[in-house]
Parts: sequence; structure tokens; C-alpha cells
Amino acid sequence: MRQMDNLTLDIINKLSVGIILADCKERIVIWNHWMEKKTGKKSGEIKGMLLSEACPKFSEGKYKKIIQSVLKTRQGRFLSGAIHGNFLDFYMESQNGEKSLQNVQVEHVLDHGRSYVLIQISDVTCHYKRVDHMRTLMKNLELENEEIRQAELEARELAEKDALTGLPNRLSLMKLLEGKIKAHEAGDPCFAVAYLDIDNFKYINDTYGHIGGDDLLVLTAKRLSAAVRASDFVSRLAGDEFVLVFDNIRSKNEIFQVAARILAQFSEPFEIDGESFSVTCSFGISVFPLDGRDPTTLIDKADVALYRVKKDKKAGFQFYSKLECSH
Amino acid sequence: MLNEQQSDLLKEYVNVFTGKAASMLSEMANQKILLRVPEVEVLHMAQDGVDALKKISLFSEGHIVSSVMNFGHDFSGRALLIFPAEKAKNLVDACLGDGNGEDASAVSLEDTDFDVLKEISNVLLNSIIGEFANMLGVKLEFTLPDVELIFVSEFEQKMYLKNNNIYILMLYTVFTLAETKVDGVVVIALGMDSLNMLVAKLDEVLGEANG
Repeated sequence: MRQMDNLTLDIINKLSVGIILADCKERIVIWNHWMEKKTGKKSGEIKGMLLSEACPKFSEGKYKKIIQSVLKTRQGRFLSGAIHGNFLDFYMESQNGEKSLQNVQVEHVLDHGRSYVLIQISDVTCHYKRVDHMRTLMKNLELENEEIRQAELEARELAEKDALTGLPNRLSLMKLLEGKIKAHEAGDPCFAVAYLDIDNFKYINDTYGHIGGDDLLVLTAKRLSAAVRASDFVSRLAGDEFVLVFDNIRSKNEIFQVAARILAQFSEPFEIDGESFSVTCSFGISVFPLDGRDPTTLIDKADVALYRVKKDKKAGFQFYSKLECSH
Repeated sequence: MLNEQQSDLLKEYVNVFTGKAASMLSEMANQKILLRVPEVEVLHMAQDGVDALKKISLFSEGHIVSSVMNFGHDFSGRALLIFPAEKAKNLVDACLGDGNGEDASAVSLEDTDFDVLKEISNVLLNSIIGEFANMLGVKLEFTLPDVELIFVSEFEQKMYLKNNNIYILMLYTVFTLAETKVDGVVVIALGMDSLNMLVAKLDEVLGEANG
């Protein structure tokens, strides 16, 4: 290579990227100040050394191939730090093993008919660190957001669920009824509300204790859920009080059919602690919009009808008023 | 612009060229990358103009990533590798082995992603243009590609490639990495002389094959 003038050399040394120039045999001709600073290797000791010795990464097959290809085809190559990682091994050591990354540009240079390979190295470690930091931050924010969303969902579910039976609770019932009333205004059919309790529950509680009583409530919840149609709704208010909503009622026969299935569920004995015994239930039924146009009235009227059953003979059901279900 | 035979031959050549690029990319990303060019087309901007651009679904309004490389001397022009931004992100993620490479919900390309795209474009465009030069027996000089994220408005769509005597060689390209499939397009803008050179070469090869 021709003797380089001082100005050109000064400029090369003052560049804020690493410059390596190697001849066609891959012997280093130029090793600028940036390279000295980053690697701790002085230009004087590196000059004449093979590229693969000065930067061991270039001894790997694929990089050897790239250098040869640039010299042969004169087509430049860009190597991104994201894919290739660190090219300056000793620099990495001097940085306490911190991950160091460089973008590398390999190009062909011709001087008086002789081919050289020009390698420009830019340190992108800090930049990558910032990007990594931002990615981690974004990932953490997404995770936190998901956790909060999940926690809110669980809290909402818990708030609307009865802990013992897993059935929806009063809050959930009120929401459902409000929704149904609105839907009716939009043209949905009417529905019925059944207020149900277990006959002589106090006796069972006293005889089998609270645990026996709880077991009975859980079994009752299961049987009620099995008795109703898929579109119906079963909730537990408190103690042995359950409220059921019979949806899409078009004829009184539909209510009678579901009511009969509920009573049939109680014809089979219940088994608690290995002991089998008979249990009956009673319920009162109010119908929307005949007996009321808001959730509280409908529940209250169904409760009044239940009271009548209890007063009468138990183990059965009654309507609050004569059923004339109209749309 | 090209007859069926010329088009088929060009497609065959381009698939060989991209095959070489695919093996280089596979080595670079340490995973099997397949590249396919199922369709090639030559458009003349003066004639086809806006209608031609409309055919390029990738030029739909919005953000695209474009990598531009100029090449010159006897065979000269401008080569672009174009992806919609979310596809570019998928390609980068798949290359780096990040995520499933399928999330196109939020496109946030970072500088490091552009570096990876620059390298992919460099390998692919070098390979295609370099092999064109070998095929035509000419010497070429070309720049390293610049990568940019561009918001293309409808107006810009019309202006972006419009230049009266430019011919556009469209290579519709499909990258396949593991489970990820990414569609892009290599656009090579050529002057009349360069296109004639290419067509003459195709005719010469076809003549040899048929004669």
C-alpha cells in the first residue's frame, strides 16, 4: 500500500469507529486508535498480524468466508451485533464480562490494482443495553398489567360467587335480574323467580352440626343445578335460601315442568357422613312482569309465596298470583 | 412486458439466486431459512403508473420498511426490499429466535431491528444483483443498503416509484423460518438500457435452449 499522508492517517485515527484494513492475504495494514483504545492492542504490535489472530472471531469459518467473498466479489457486507454478537473478545474481558456488541461493515477497497478489505466496527453495546432495558421494561409492564387484570377478574368472580356452594350470590342475582328486565324491554320473553328453602333445615343443622348442614347445602346446590334447564339460573342468597330464575317463559307449563323436576330431585334421599335421610324443599314463584317490574319486588313476592307454602304443608310450590304469563 | 417464456426463465434464475442468499441467511441466523420467489413481473411506470402500484398489495397505505441499495456501471439501478412493518418485525424476531414471530399486534421496530433488517437486505440484494451481474457478464459496484421505516400516504404511493422511464422488476418473495412465513417484495428499478440488456440475455439463453 502507498504511504499514507499524515492528514489521512490523523483522520482515520480520530474516527469514532474501529477501522481495520487488511490486505488480500488478510494481514493487517491499518489498526486505528479506536481499535487500540477498545482492545488495548497497539497498532505497532498488530500491524502485519493475521486478521484471525488479531480478532479471533474472524477465524470462524463463516466469517472467513465473508472476508473472502468481499475480496472476491467486491460486494460489501454488513453484520449486525444483534445476530453476531461480540467481535472484540479481549474488549469484552476488559469490561468485566459485560455483554459487548458491535455492528461490523466489511467492504472492498482497491489501491493501485491491489485489493484490501476494510472493516469498520461500531460499538453498539450501550445502545443495545438501552434497547434491552426498554424491552425488559415493556415486558414487565405487560406482565404486571396481565397480573392486575387477572387479579381483578378473580376479585370480580369472588365478589359474585357464594364461597360454599360455588353458585352465584345475591350480587350476581341482582345483576342478572336487572339485565333480564332490560332485555324484556327489547323484546325478550318473560321469566319467573323462585325463592326456595330447605324444609326443617334448622333441625338438620342441629342434628348433624354445621358441617353436616354445609354438606347438605352443597348437595342441594348440585341437585338444583341438575334440575333446571341450561338457560336457567341458580343462586344462593344466605343460609338455606336459594333463588332460581327460570328464563324464556312462554307458557305456564314450562314453569310447572321445571318445578316438578326440582321436587323430583328431592325425592331421592341425601347422604351425609354415611347416613341417608330424606329432605324436602319448598318454593314460591313470582313472574315478571305480572308480579313486579324490578328485582327486589320480584324476589319479595316469591318470598311471600314461599311463606304461604310453608304455612300450608311444605314440600311444594306456589305462585304469588294467578299465572297469566304474557309477553 | 415479458413474455411467458422470458418470465419463466427469469423466475428460475431469481429462485437460484435467492436460494444462495437463503443458505447465507441460514448460516447467519443459525436456522433453516427458505426463500422463494413465486412470481416475477416487470412494470413500466410511465404506462402502468398508479395502476401498477395498486397491484402491489405491499404498498398499501401505512408503514412499510424499505431497504434501498444502489448499484451502478453497465447495469445500473436501485434495488429495494420492502416489507410491511409488522412482517419485518416478524422476520427479525424469527431470525433472533425471539417470541413466536407471529405477533403483529404492536409494531415497534427498534434500531437493533433495523440492523438485522439491514443485514438481511444486504445478503439478499447482494446475492440477487451480484448474480444478475454474473449472468450478464458485467461488473457492478453497489452500496450497502439503508433501511428506513416509511409511512406511505396515498399520494406518496403514487410518487414513490413513479419516474417516467423507469422499469420495475418485481420479485415477490416469501421467507420461511421455522413456523414463520413472511411475504416481502424485492423491487429492482432499472433504466431502459439495463432492462434491454437483461431481456436480451434471457432471449439469448432461450434461443440456445430452443435452437
